[in-house]
Amino acid sequence: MNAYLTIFWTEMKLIFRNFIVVFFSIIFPACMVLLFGYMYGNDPIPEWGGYGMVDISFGAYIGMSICVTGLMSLPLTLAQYRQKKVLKQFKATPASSGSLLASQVVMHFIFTVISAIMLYLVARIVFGYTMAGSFWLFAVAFLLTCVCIFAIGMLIASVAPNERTATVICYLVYFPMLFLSGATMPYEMFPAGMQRFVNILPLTHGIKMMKGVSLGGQLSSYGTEMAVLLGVALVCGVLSAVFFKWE
Amino acid sequence: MLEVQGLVKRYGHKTAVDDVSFTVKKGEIFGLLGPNGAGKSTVIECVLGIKKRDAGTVRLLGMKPEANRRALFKRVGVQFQQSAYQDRIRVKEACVLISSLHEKPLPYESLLADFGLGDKERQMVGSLSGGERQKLSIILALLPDPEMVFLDELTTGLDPSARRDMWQYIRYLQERGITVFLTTHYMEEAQHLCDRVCMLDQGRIVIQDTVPRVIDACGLTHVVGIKTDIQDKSSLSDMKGISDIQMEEGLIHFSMDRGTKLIDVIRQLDERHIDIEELNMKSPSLEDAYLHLVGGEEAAV
Repeated sequence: MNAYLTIFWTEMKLIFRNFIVVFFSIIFPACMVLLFGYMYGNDPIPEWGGYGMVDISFGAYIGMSICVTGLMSLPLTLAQYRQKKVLKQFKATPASSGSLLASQVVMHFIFTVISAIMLYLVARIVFGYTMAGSFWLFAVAFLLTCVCIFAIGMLIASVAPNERTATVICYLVYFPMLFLSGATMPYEMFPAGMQRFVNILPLTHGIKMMKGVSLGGQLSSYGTEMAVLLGVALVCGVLSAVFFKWE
Repeated sequence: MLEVQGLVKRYGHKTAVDDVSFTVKKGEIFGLLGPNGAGKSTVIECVLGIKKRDAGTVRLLGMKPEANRRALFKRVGVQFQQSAYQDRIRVKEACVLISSLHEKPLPYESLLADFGLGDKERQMVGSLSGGERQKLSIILALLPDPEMVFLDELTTGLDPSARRDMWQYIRYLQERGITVFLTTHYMEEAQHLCDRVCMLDQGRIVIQDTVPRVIDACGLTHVVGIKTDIQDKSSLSDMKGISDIQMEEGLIHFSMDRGTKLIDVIRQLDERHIDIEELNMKSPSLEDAYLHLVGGEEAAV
């Protein structure tokens, strides 16, 4: 247990020293909230069902954070540890070989939670945001989205032969998800054909569900979304377990 | 300590390690030598069970490495080639991290002090010099208080003085009763440190024995150099027991045939009234033996 905690704590310190990750998962989404919040305010808009801009986009910005940690930081860290032989060095200790992987996943999850809390605090303090829906249902939607996105991240980490390839794959997966899933631009603004296309992106479903639940929806209305998220998570999880290489 | 029998490792069609057998005895410094790509690192990885071997048996501390991984790494310390550190990790954090993976680690503070890194605890590993980083690798390999350590190319890329420092530390490990298995492609280093060496070339063992016996087995000759006033090497041409006479800027070099005694050479020079101002004799080194055994092939590659 001590080993897990120490690995976790060390890796947590390391991720906070990684400015790019901190910037894109905490500072950048917070800035987006501030930017759009100041542009549009958070006054109720009848066409949006009486919700304001921040209300509407909160779930989407959380999705942005999950994307940065799950699709960028997690796979790139693991690819780098493989290339730098950190993983191999771990194999030469009595620690269980999965301990580093497990602590990486848990650490990235906690980091995502921290960035979500930061985002909430900004929305709350600056724009008086309160979540219309149930916090616990939102937590479930958040967790499901994390599981799915992290599984995709683990798959990238497993199939990428080196750090450079991992970076390329991450960008190829990350940017379309970021721009098309509704994390930056509201999904509702896309034309119908486009909506059908972006529906193949798992993050779209995660954001739809987080957004819906944060606005007071019930999980039961998001059966398809949950099925897609869990299905993608399962497939990616199994594939990454099959393909994962220690070096 | 370590017994390896008929080790084979293939990568696709390429045989990286071909029928390698050796034993390492308790308390010795054993050197696995050979050019880059000879298969040294692969041997280490197969011995430790980190890579699967295709044939052969390995007994490390009486255990099968693939079956006793956790038990094994409580008693064996490893430093891999170009050892690995996370970005932006501090010296102390790396020590704490590795310590936490072992049940009864040695206190890293005293190891850092022993190796002259006591004041670097707060420093980022990435900002250490090459020598300091390699010292840290040894420290991390020593944390489990191992009976045996594997050091893969510990001194590659270090400047000569840092390399000499490393040699001292490896000797110090031996004094502490730790068996050392190291790989290097610096023959001077192997000759200085190793009790026994095993030379590998293209995955096969070329020779293995103690350093003096490896050198002796090559049948290399001692080279004598004399500084004298004679201008012409022909006056030496009828001397017995020497060959390969060469003259260069007032210095005459020749090889002494095996069995020739230096005193006989000097007596013959004296008979010819050749004045010896200076004399030096170079014994064949492990490097000469290495070049003799694998150097040619390496040049061909």
